[in-house]
Amino acid sequence: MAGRVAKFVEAWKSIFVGHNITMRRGYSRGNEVTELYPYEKPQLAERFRGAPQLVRIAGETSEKEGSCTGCGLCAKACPVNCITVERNKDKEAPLKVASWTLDLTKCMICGLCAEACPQAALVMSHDYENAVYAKDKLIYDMERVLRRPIHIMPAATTVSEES
Amino acid sequence: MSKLEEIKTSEVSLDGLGVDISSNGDAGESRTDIRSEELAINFGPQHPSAHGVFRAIFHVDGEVVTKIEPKIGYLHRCFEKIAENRTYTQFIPYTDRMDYVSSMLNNWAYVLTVEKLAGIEVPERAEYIRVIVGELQRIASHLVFLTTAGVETGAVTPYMYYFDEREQILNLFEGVCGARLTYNYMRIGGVSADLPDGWLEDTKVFLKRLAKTMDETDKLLLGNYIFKKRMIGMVPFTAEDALKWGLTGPSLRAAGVPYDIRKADPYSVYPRIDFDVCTRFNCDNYDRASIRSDEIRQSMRIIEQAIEQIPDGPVKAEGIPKVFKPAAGEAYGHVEASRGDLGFYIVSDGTTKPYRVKIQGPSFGNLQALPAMAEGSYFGDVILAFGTLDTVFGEVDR
Amino acid sequence: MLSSAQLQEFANNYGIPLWGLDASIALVLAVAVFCLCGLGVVVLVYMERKIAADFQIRYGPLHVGWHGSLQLVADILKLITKEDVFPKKADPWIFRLAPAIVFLAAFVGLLVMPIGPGLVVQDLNVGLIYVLAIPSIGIAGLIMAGFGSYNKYAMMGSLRAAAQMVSYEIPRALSVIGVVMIAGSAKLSAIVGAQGIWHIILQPLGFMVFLVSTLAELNRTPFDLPDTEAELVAGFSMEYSGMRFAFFFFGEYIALMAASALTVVLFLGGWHGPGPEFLAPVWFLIKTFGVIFLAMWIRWTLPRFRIDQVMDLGWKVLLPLALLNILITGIVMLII
Repeated sequence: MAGRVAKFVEAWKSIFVGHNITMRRGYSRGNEVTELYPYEKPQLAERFRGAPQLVRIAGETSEKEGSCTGCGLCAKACPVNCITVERNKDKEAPLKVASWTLDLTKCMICGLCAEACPQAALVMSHDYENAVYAKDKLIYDMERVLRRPIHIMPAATTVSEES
Repeated sequence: MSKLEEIKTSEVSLDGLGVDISSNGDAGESRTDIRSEELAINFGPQHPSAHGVFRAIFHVDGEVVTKIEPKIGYLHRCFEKIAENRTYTQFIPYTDRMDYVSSMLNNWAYVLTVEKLAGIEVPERAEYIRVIVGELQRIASHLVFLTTAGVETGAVTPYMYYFDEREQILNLFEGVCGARLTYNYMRIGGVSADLPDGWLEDTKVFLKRLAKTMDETDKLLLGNYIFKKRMIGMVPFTAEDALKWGLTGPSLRAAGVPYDIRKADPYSVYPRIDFDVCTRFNCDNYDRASIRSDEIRQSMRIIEQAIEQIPDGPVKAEGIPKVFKPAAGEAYGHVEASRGDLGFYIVSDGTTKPYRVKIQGPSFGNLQALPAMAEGSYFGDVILAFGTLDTVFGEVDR
Repeated sequence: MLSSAQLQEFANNYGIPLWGLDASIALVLAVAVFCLCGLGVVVLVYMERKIAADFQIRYGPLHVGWHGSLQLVADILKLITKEDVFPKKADPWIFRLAPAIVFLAAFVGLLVMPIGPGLVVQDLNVGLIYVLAIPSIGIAGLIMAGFGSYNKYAMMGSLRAAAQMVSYEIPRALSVIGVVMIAGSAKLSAIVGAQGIWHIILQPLGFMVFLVSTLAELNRTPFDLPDTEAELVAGFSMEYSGMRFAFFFFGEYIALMAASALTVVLFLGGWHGPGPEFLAPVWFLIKTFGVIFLAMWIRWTLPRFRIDQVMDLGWKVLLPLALLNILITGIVMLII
């Protein structure tokens, strides 16, 4: 009988303790942790990885191709083959990229391409709102990649420099 | 003594409670007088507590599950075969997607094996960084576990408290590697980038905050009488059975077997860090749930020590060629992932791509014990037993 | 309110038979209560969402109307436009009838609630027995829902609901006998009238048993076995969609409202409270919402029992306690 009573008391005690905790957490001021996402944009970390993007450094590189030389190491580093690079065929001209295509439907945003880039011409952008209505819009060509809002960043801050 | 232990030891009649429930939990005897037809229920793969895509056929007699036929494979993505067609580095992001609740530890297990294969020495700072992020990942994973254990018993509110803490860990990870779920942070011979400035201080602040929340939620969920009554003594598993069925990780330790790869087969800098291997007694639902709470505290201890000890230096081994070609050979490496013993067996034929990668996931080993463990229990308890085995289907099916 | 003499005169003047007048008045009042019910559901659903959000450190509905207050309206519009999925093998009549029965059974309990002195649709002599008995028809609705929808999960859910609700009827009914003994009447207004001292003080044990078994009757956590989403996905309402589902949903909240009102009537002094008499319904409402808040607080804090533990609690703990309560009340009344 004493055991039963003790169990009874303990049961009610644990229940009251729980209610106390929910009440304290629930009705303390400014307790909400929800991010009101579409209205308030989240604070992204500096190293945040969004869709890969070619970098254009203000004043230094051309508007058309950034500092990409079209070496194709990014395409080789990519585990899912979502990057296609073509160099210009003209032997006389300086080594420049002719076309650079990213298939964002395949891309898993692992960042290996940005790490492989010897020119730091390719970085992981901070774009995360990539939803579109048609799938073919997710295939980014060179123009598209450079036309997107560009984070003009000095090459020193990219991840690949550190390795 | 942790707060949880206090709660448990202060209890008047824990043993009596266990016996008390298991006697009426043993429903097999009392239903001999009424025979009813068995009902085969299809559980999953879209069931809310299928933890991904688990499918099983439950044969129930009233509320008692008499037979469980698990069906797996709904999330099979051929990772072992894919590995044969990717370079060693390219496979790292795939390991993220195996056990997607603890990606960092999967990364670690894989790169550890590759380093073993190629005989690469990892710089000390990188090892400490790995320990810190690995243990943070373990905490995050166990928080998800406690969340689901709560939700499956109907306590929905602790869910938000735990996830709030997990969110902080994800923020820390976002700071260090740029992603919140599929990190791809570890590299062969180190990690992809050094810790950002002030990151260790943020981690310390987070640990203080976590300790407070854990004390609170231990009282709210694990110390709750209904939760205990629901879990203690239900679906127990003996240590012998657990070993026979190949349980690893917290589920095995809940049966009282102090097997932890961090101690049993030490890797990285764990030998320099002081921590305990948590064990429990009879691997019932409550033991499997509460051991996670204890392990979170041990992980916090490990992180605190690692932050104290972390040296300066490079974070990636020197002299790893861009085209990475380990010599022909084979290696097996395993780490203590948050669900147990995660092993990789890699055979190299001297080319840039592995000849064969075999992955041995703890979730698969733990899941296969479910029928042996849970047949003859109540439907609700089977769900909880499945939940407390903490399987992640990305890893079971790979 | 008109007195009966005035009514009689009115009826004689216009040649209306008395029963017709009675019937039409009752109908008007019932419709009024029905509308109030609808309003109550809107308030309750909003309240539940906001309270759940508060306990779970989030915001809850925020965008439809002022602080999301019109969220339920938006939800109802959505539910109306949804396809009415009808399982091929479902029993058509049973399947269609079940939501209506659940809804009505929950609703009729409110008809005898005295929310103020004289403010009651129909003050039955056996009001207490009526409110305990009639809403139990809802169990039939749940069984029909589970049986009619030809679904194993729904079937299991409805069997659980039946077992649980039938078991908890007994301690619930027994726990209020002490109140009836003290008040000397089963008429709800008389019970409220008898509460110079609230019955919760005179009958703490009875109140506890009543509260626990009421939660079990309402299928709310920690007794939400019939629709445990972890096990039975959605329980008896598994196959229902659109407005049919909404009726289950509303029925649940109206039942909560009725049960809270009954708790106030039986144990918390009904409409009694400081201030002038016209404040009586306000006091009644405040107390009712207090009980509703308590139920929600419990729901968002506790985990749930397992089905056999629910049965154990009902038969082995609450039933003896309810009987003990009657015994103690009897002895004390004999002595005093």
